[in-house]
Amino acid sequence: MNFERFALDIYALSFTALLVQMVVGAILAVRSQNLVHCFIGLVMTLISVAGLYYFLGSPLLAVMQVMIYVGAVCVAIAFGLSLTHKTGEEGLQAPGLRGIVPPFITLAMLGSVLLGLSNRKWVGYPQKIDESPIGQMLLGEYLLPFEVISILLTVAVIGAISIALIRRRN
Amino acid sequence: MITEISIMRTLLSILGITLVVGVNAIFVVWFERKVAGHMQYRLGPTEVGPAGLLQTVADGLKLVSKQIIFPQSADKPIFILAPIICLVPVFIALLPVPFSATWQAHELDMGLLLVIALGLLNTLGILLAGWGCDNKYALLGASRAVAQILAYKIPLLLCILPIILLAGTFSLREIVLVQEQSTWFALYQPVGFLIYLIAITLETNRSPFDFAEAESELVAGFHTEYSGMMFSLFFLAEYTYMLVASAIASILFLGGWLGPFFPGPVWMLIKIYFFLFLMMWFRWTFPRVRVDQMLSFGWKILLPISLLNFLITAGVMAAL
Amino acid sequence: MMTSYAQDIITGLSSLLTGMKVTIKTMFTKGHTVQWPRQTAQLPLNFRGHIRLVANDSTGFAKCIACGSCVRACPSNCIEVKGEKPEGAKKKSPTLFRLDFTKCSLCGLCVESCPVAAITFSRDYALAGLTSEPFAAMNLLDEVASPFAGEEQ
Repeated sequence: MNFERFALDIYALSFTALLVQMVVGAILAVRSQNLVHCFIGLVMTLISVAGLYYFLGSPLLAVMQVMIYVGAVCVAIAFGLSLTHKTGEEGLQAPGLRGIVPPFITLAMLGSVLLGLSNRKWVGYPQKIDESPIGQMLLGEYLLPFEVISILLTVAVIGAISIALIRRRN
Repeated sequence: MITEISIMRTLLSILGITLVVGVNAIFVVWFERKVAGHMQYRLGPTEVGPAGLLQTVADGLKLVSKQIIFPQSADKPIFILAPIICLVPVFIALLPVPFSATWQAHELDMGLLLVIALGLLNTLGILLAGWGCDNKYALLGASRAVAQILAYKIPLLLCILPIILLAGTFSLREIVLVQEQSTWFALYQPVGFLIYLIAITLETNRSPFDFAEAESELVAGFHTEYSGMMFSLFFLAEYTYMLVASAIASILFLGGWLGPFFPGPVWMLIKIYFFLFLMMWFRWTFPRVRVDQMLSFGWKILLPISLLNFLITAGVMAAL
Repeated sequence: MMTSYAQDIITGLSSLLTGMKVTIKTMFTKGHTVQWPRQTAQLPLNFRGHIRLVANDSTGFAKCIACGSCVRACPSNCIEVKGEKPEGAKKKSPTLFRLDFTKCSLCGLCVESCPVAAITFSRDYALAGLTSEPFAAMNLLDEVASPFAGEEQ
């Protein structure tokens, strides 16, 4: 039995399954009338993106994706959702004329990504990469942007607290 | 290279993890009921099997044979998905846990990160359970679980960070190997150890922090509407999650499989069940605190102390 | 402020440890569970079962003189007594002594009011049945005929 062949088949199969899950999740997140279903679609997409990272040879990014996006961002969104009055029972409004804009932005983004990738060399299947430069770059070359983002987050938190305090006082 | 051996290894690890999860749940539920009984001048289960050891098997059979009831206004796909989302991550979280230098399903250089990340998915499952069944008690339990995760996760990570500084790796196996060279990290990090103990009690939703379930306030919290096999999936997830948290605690602080006389897996199991016993001891001693008390405890006590602990460790390490 | 913060944590921790000491000590003491029916607990001396008639030591007949003071004393009207004088006897003897145990509240007024101490509490605690009929009309005279049978048929 050819195990290499077998493994590659399984690899391709799970990769495709992840892609399908990602697209289904994305469509669900955008198109569903129920806010909770939108949320689940978002989680599905984010988890499948983490899976793609893993398949593309960067388990660190995959784990970070799960930790930050699914664990932190989605839980924060969920916390907000559970505090809202109605979780989208009456359905969402159709966007109307403004709905034309997003497809153009999406297409423009897709085009620029494809353009950027066009003169890269394609490889058969990915090797696991060394991730330690990520940390060194974050704390070396890109230290300033990194710190600025942290300060931005701190400012946002302080702002949220002060808004809550002002509303409580009134 | 993919060979017969690597495929056999994969299949064996899947089988092993399933066995560990099943046997652990059967044993720990029995153990918990015994401990609870004896701490309250009772005996616990005695009838089914020797010393009641098969009680959990009987309970499991009962749960499997029971009808699964779907509430009329439940969101069926979410309702079905929730217990699965709770259970699957804990299975995967057992992959990088080493039971000895060689007994490990899959060595990952970021095993610790993976376990932490998967721990967050458990809360997602609880949240979906609370939402899916359209029950106010379940929803309250779920939103409490989310408030709780915000309060304990940061101190938990902050008391793991010094360990990573000391060990210089995210791999669970190598963290133990570093401790083989020096000594148990609990001796370097007593404060971190204490905070970690509190944080895993919070993380596994155990009393005195079992707000998501809170049977005296919220009927049964997030699994109020679940019955039969779906309820037992939540149960299985909770007890497996306790196992994972205890295993990580013994690896990070008590040197994993290291110990004299006995082989590695025996020491690992002794340490794991020591932590499990500790969590049961907490549960049957302390009454549940109020939610706001837990939140202010998390933010005002756990967070500053763990931050201070981390800064001091980093400072000492930089100075040496 | 800083000292009270630290003090709170220390007193809190020590109180937690005290609690844990109590439970771990309890865990290694013997349980109080009595595993009925394999074991039976000792009944307290003043245990109150349903009432029963006391037999005369020499004759084996009931001490009861069918005077009816227990019937009058009973607040729930659950005792019914009829009596006749047997031939040659000075006092009456009960021909019927029936207790409606479904109404009885075990207050013990009948025991106290009996002038000849003919009523006492039984020590029968394992009463159970599928219907209420046997308990609605308990014939207490049966027990006197065989005073140590103790069990309601």
